[in-house]
Amino acid sequence: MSGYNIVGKPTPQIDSRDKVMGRARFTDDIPLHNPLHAAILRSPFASARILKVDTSRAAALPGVRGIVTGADFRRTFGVLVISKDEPAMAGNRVRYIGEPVAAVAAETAEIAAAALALIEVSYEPTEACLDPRVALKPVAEPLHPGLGRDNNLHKRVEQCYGDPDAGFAASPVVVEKRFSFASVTHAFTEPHATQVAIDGRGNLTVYSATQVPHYLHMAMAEVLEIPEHRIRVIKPHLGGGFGGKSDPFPHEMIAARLALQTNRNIRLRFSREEVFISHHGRHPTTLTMKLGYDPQQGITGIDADILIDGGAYGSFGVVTTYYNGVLLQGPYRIENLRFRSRRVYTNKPMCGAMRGHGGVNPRFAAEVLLDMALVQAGVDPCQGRIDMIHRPNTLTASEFRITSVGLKAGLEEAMRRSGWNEKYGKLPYGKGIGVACGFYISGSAAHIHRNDRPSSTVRLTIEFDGMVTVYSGAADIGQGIDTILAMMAAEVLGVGLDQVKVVVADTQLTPVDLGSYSSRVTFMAGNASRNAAIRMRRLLVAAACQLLELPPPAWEKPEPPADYFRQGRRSPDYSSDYLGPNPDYNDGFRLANGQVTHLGSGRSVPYLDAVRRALDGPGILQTHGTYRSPKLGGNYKGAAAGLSPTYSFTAFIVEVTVDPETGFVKVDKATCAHDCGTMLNPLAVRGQIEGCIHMGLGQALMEEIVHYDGAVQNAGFLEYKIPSAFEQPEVDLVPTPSDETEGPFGAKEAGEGPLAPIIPAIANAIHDAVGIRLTEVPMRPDRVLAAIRKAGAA
Amino acid sequence: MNTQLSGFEFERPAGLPALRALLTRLGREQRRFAVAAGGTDLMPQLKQRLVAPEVLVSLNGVGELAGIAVQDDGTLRIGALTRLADLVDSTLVRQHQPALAAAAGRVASPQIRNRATLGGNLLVNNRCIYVNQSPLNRTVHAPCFKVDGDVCHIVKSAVRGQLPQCQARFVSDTAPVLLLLEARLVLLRGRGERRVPLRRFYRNDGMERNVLRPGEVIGWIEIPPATGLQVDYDKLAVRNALDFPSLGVAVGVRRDAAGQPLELSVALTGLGTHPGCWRHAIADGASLSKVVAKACARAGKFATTYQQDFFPRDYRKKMIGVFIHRSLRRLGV
Repeated sequence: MSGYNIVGKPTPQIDSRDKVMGRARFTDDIPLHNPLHAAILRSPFASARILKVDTSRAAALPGVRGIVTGADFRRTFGVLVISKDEPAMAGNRVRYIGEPVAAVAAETAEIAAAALALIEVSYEPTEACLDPRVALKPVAEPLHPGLGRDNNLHKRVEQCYGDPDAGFAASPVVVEKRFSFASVTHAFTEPHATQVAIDGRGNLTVYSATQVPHYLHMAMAEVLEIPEHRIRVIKPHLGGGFGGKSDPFPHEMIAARLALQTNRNIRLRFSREEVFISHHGRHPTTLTMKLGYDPQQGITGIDADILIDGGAYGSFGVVTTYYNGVLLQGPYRIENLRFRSRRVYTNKPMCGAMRGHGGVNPRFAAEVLLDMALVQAGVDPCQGRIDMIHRPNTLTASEFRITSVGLKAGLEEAMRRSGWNEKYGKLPYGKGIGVACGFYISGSAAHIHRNDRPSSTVRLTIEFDGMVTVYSGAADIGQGIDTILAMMAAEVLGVGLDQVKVVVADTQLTPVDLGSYSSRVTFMAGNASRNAAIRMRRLLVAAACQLLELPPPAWEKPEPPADYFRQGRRSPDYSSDYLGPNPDYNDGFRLANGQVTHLGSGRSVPYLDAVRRALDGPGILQTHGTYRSPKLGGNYKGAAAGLSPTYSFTAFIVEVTVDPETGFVKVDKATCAHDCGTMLNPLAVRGQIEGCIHMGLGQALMEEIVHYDGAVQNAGFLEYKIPSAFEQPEVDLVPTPSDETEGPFGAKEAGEGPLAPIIPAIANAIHDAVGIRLTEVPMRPDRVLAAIRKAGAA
Repeated sequence: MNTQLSGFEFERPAGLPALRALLTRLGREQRRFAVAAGGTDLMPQLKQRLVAPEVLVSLNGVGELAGIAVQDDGTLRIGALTRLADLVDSTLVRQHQPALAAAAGRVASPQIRNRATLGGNLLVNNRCIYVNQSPLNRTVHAPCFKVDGDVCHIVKSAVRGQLPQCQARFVSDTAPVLLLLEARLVLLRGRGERRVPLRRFYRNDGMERNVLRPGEVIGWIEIPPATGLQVDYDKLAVRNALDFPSLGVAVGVRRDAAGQPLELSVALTGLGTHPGCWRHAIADGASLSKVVAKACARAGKFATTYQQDFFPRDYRKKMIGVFIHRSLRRLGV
């Protein structure tokens, strides 16, 4: 169905004016009444026993109102139910430099800082484990003895599909390399901040810069040991997350505990250094990968051995361990896949989820090896990839259900527009062009907390004045979900965006949404908003029928489309929920221009009349919409990892200039084909892809956290190098048409998938430019130069 | 975590006589004071508690020290308080000393150049990844010499009293160009002033960095007319903005009236504790490439370069010759 009013039009985000004008309030901007200022004392040791924490001198300082230590928290927490290993504050031992040990709430920030200096902590340093390879060896005292292991292994996953060895044996080309990836962090703009208001009945309102208000809500109740109904979580405007705010955090628990202890409002904000210390960024990774290729069959096998350094606690790490392997199943057909993936604990700030979660580093290895194989086999790197891209409506080796795939046409168009055939292998020394592809989940099909509730629920109301309000727990972290929610409702109800308000991310007012992670929100909350609006549309059409004295439409349940791909006998949410697949309203009415028009007779009533008639009986006009994933995947341990209702697909063609004397790499142009189904908001999609390119450029060329004896030595934006605007290349977005049956108006994700392939595309372009294969990321100029000199000497 | 400034008295003398009087008084009273012009280098040090003055003296009321003029003898006289952005935009500077405008334009970012001054850039504190850190980070590692400790994390065998005591590296972008231009500093103290050639200004130590005396400030930078001298500056940095030089190379060529090169000069920043500067005469009929090779070899031996930067030490050293050759190409040699 085409001819949309709102969907597909480049739309500035509905809060953009407030943000540009400085009116948007971020967490730390919210003026609570007379708050206490909180500050956190952090461990100077990577590994130590805490013998004693003496807060008496700090408590005696005038203006100090509250002090908490590890003794104030009995329960540990973690975003994953399966690894709740993190204390809000260190108890009897510290596991990384910067771990919270005590916190103070005082009348001013100055007093709080002075009080921290008066807290005396006696530590007994113990041997720190900083090297992930050493972490695999037996130690006297593991970081987490509760796991019952004699080493610091956190999670180990081994899976095998098909027969990779047979695949390699029959392959004309087999390539293998060892890769290493530095630790990188999200570098979002707004530092972590939390404010907690407490009322006379001891109820907490928690304002926090979080991607996951619902998970924070639950974790906080558990850690504070108070009922969930006493906590209200509000996510104000948020200045970027990229996965760095997708866990419940210790500082949030600390602020709430201080509020309960002092019965006062609490204000807590991080310095940039504290953001780096809290980290939760991409796991530093070493991996060895072997790939077999046959020009007739494509990829004949992949075997990967992956070691990821998790830092001190679990976070999303179990998922990361799986993703490093299972996300190798696309975007190409692979029958034979084996991987062994291990995550270890070390005495460093913890790693977690970061944009492209778990898929970025193995994607680099696979795309570089594939490029080597294609070159060796004499196959064009673009054409060779195109021939192997998943066909629509197929299953992967581990039974991922692949539905829509628009990448083939997209990459073909990218080849034409970038002039690939005229450039590849033909540019002068120092100039190069390279390609890489990727795919990514559009939300996780499996819930972190096992329950049968929908992944996203939206409530929708219309008031007597005709204003539509969408209530959703979804967390806009800058990606523009508030705008998408409004667009869904406006499109279905035939009103302008100015007639839709969104009330979002407030656990008192909005139904549950699981949060902004796994690229799930546009797909899932977007569907929920669309479905709520379709239900509302039916109420309005029924009211219009009354006014026009017509019988109401029958609204027969539509059949799934002919090409709908079922896995087994499983069916999508809407088949059990009477709302049709992409939108066929089935009502014979048109809602537009303030009129509800009966298409058969051409007669119409004003929209407002229909609203008021619909309000006559119930007095309130309210509907809901949900999204839940169909049941997917195989029946074996670990089958749920990486399952998604649908997947996005991306290809990048990148052109670079390599300076052979200095090793500097300049990315001149990035041509991107990204299959996100229908582009609901092309402006937001462009923003996401440009952002992915910028972020990918950082990891590819310069970003790297440096540790010295376990301390983050470049905890600031002067020494942790993220690219400046000067480094951003020209970007060409190529139309990549596809239509996702199950997505809202045909949409899939666009926020994460485009990140992973830009990095190997740069590497492959460097190879085309100067003939070197780099296996260490970031591909710093000194590494490029060393490889060039080595190649020249050989 | 605390990123607030600690308390200090604030003085903002209005004019040069008031500044001279204030500095004299503070010296007499033995107060611990810091002088700020743009403050772009000082503020992070204050926040990180690397300096803790009792009195902060702002130069921003001393209008006499801002401005650019050409004197009768052709000397370009630049007030120490001249903002880098004004230097970049100055027709006089672009006309007389384009390399200085270019080097000033490579400092940090436009916002910082709007605030930072030429005097401040000449005095920008030497940097070290073990010193320019928060109090928390500095508690983790044993305190080093520069923060009144007893170790150097770069040269572990260093002992107190041995020079250079501190290996924190020199990072001014403008100093190498001004060295090749044979600039002089006019230093003000009490009621007096003295002139010091820039080449005698810096010392080989990351802590005792220069010959500026307590209470002394840079008043003006004087650049004599540079007949036949052309200078080029380029820096090695990860990004095209924001970064201090991992290596900065200024190259000068002096020619006679007929355009024949007479002298090749090189100055370096970003490597050691102070800037290096060498001049190589080009004798009649001498092979230019031999002189260039000699200049590269000399510069390459300049400093013991330590691993304290984004780029490994070997790479930075390798780049010296590359940068010299590239500058020479731009200078048409």
